[in-house]
Amino acid sequence: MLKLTRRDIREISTGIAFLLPNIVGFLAFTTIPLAISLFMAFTDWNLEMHNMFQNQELRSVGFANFRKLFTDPDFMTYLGNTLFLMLGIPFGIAGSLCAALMLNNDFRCSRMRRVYGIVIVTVILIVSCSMLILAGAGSTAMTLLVCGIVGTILVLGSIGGQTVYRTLFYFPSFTAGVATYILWKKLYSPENGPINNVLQPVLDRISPLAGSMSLETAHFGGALLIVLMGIIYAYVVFRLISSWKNGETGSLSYCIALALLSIPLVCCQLWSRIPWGGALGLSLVTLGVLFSLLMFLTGRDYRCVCDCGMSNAIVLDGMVMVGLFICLGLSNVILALPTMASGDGLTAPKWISDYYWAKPSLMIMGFWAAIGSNNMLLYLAGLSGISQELYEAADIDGASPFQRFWNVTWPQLSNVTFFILVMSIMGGLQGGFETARTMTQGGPAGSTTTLAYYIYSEGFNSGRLGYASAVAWTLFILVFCVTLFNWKFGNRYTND
Amino acid sequence: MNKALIASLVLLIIASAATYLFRPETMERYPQVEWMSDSNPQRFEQTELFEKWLGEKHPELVKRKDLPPFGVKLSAANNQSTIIQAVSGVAGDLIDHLNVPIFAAMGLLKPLGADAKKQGFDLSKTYPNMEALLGYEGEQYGYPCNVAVSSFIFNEDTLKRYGMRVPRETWTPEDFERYSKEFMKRTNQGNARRTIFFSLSAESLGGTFITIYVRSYGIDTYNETLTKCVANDDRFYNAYELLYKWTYVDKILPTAAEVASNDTESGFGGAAFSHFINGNYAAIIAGRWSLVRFRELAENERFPMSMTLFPQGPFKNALISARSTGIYAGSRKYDMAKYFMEFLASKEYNDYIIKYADGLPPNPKYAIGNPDYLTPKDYPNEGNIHAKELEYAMTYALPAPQTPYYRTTGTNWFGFALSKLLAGRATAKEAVDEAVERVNRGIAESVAANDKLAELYRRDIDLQHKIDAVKNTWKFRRGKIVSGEKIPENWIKNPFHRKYYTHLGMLKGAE
Repeated sequence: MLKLTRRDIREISTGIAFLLPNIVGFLAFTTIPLAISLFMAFTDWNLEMHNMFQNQELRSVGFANFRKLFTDPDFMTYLGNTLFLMLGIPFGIAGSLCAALMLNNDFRCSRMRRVYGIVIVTVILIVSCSMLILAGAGSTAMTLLVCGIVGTILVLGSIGGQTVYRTLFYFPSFTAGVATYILWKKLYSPENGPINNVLQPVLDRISPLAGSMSLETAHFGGALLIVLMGIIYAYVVFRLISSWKNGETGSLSYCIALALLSIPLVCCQLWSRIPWGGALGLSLVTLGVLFSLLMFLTGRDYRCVCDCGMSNAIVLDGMVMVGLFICLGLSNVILALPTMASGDGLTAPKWISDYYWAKPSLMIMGFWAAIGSNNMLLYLAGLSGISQELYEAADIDGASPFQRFWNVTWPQLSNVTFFILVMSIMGGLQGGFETARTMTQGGPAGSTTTLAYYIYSEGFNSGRLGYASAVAWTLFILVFCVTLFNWKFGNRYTND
Repeated sequence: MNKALIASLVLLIIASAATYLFRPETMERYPQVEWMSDSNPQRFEQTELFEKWLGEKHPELVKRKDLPPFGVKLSAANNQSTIIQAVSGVAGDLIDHLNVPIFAAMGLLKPLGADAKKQGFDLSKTYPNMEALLGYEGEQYGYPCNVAVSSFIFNEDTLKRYGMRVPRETWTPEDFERYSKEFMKRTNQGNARRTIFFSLSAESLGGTFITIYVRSYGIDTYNETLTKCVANDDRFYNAYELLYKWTYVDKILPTAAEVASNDTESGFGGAAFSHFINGNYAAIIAGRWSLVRFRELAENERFPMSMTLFPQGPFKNALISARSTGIYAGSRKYDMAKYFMEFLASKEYNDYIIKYADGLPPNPKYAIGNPDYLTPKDYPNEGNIHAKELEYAMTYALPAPQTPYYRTTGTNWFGFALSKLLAGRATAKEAVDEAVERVNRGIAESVAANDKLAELYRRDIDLQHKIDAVKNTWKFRRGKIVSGEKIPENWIKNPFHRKYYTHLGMLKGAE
């Protein structure tokens, strides 16, 4: 048994004394509030009845707050909004990876090439500005200002190289959130914002073309996209089947991947404006299920555990699913294009003032912020850690730049990607408060209210602390489960 | 190591002591009562006026001639943070911009009834129908700092520029539509983008317009005893549909996107006032308080203005509101704070409000027949605003609908309904029905959670049954009541119904 001398005890006491302020702070501001909020979630704590001036009895309501939450349509709507906004995460990760890959190169030129660079950039800038003016978008100073800034950045980059670009790309991260949100609010201004000032003249040019498009042509274009969806679906199912047969994908992983892939085709039934689009989608899904059953009955060449390849299946099929949804959306847009373009012509989106565009607007802004975020720094750090020998070996094997990336860079960055993904999902589930508060107040008609904003609104606007705590703890459980899932399958993916 | 620990400890103790000793409170030359209000420059002048008034009215309190006995210190806070501070026990001694029924129901305010009577400023001394704004369960909890009746204020120069005259003081929604369509036709002809609008957006206009519109046709958000939301009615649907039509079909009111494109949020009163000054809006919805902003203009930039009621049906009405102040239940300076309430009731304060046009004075007796109020010499351009707003407050005005059974500072479900309608997410009927369902669910939940409220609710429900029975005796001919029993006045809790049934002649004395 370990025997402590008086000196040991004194040293331990001293250490604890040094740690005490931190421990007390942690207890006072984290542990105790957490415990209280857990307690609150099971009570009817309402500021109207329970505050330091109102001593009405606090009632235990058991799981009533949680039950209410699952029957409350608002909770489901706001959870849906949160998940919708999270669809931007893969794009954000891809953007930050692209930024890191670009910034990993040195852009600094030799003196002579630098001069050429400046001349070329200046010419491009002048030509762009002239084109904007000709297109009718140069009327606002803001548009020209944006062009000027882009030009300056290019010129500075050719002189200062990657240091300039790394600093500039990291700008969104060290700029105060509220300031950038207000800036974006102005950029999104529907009638005089720079985005629509550029977009509207383009749409004005396209409108006559789109308006003159016959309904048959539009129908053909829309149908083509639905057929494309079917082809992509069939191809990915085929790949999944081979992967299952080869023992790279487990049965459970296969089923989950197939279910994910089938969602957009099932949605065709609800949303596709092509009359036979829904039928095609359902037929393909039925065929996919039948083939799978047949495949399960005939057996496979190599066996593996049922959840093998789960992360690959979810990540890749998730991305394909997003692509299929894009096809479905585009198909409907093409069909509606002649009608939209007739009359007043095509109009630029109203962005955050429009119910349907508000969420995509926030996603675009989130994408911009994600490109130059800490994720980019993590990728940069990850890239610097990849051994050059691997690239040399790939060069010797005659690998193309894409093959170098796909077979060396991407696998070597898998642990960084995994970390970023976990953090982004956690952040995504808890996010959306600042943007909602600053830009939209959760509107229009609740379209940008996320769970985080809902918790604030229920707790501090409505005073229902018990219910707000229940929502907060449900969110915690959700984050916890997703993170556990990520750890279970993501870790394996990283180690593989 | 121990020495380092002790040194850190000593340093922390010294820093804590210094923080305590140099707190703003301990640095003050004389005691200060904290007033949580807005950062309007006039508030600072009002605190100075209070200190002067205190020395003159209460010389017994003065201890040093060069210093006032105590003062008032302003601290700006919005409504949400005020509630959070108040329930946590750290709000200021005086709370401004109060929603009295909500704060009082939460137990956050000291009752003022006895003091108000002593100071000659109980509810009978202020404007009619103000009980719901200043009281709770028969007790007064707030004093009005100023009062406002939301009405249309027109920029006559803008109208003249387009060859139009100020509309009649009382107008129907049909008149409004005709007039504003003509205005829009004249102003935006040939423009690719509309920059001039008749008035504010449907979202800004909505709540007030809907309430006034439906009341003018004899219905309110809540029933007579405030026990149920009864807005699922054609008159409500019509009001919502009109707002939609005026925004997207007739294009009289700016859309949210147009507001977002045109607004730069700045200045007292926000962007709408700037648009009004510049002639981008023909009219704004405001009260006399808005003149604070317009008086800042140079003399040659001032423009003539005039006021009309909201467009409405046969029963004329308007919405009254008050910026009221109460004393925080947790105040440790109650004795000092009540002098400030006395100040709000004083002639000096009322005169200040009259002089600087910060709304209607709390006590109407100082405005009625007062030429300084009715026709301020330096501002002839303000036209009938002073007289009309006073008249509306004394004759037509009613407070916004609210019920003791559903108090929330959270989402305004009727505003949300309008937002859904304007976003194309629901029809007027669907949106309003959803709001009604939510509010009635809220009432049921509040009553179920609060025994005291449940008891009151049961009593009111019994009353409602009696009222419904009396109403069943009413016989109608061409939409008018021709016979039937009258309802005893004390059965009715909703100020609108009290006034409306009096108008119909169907109310009798208390029973």
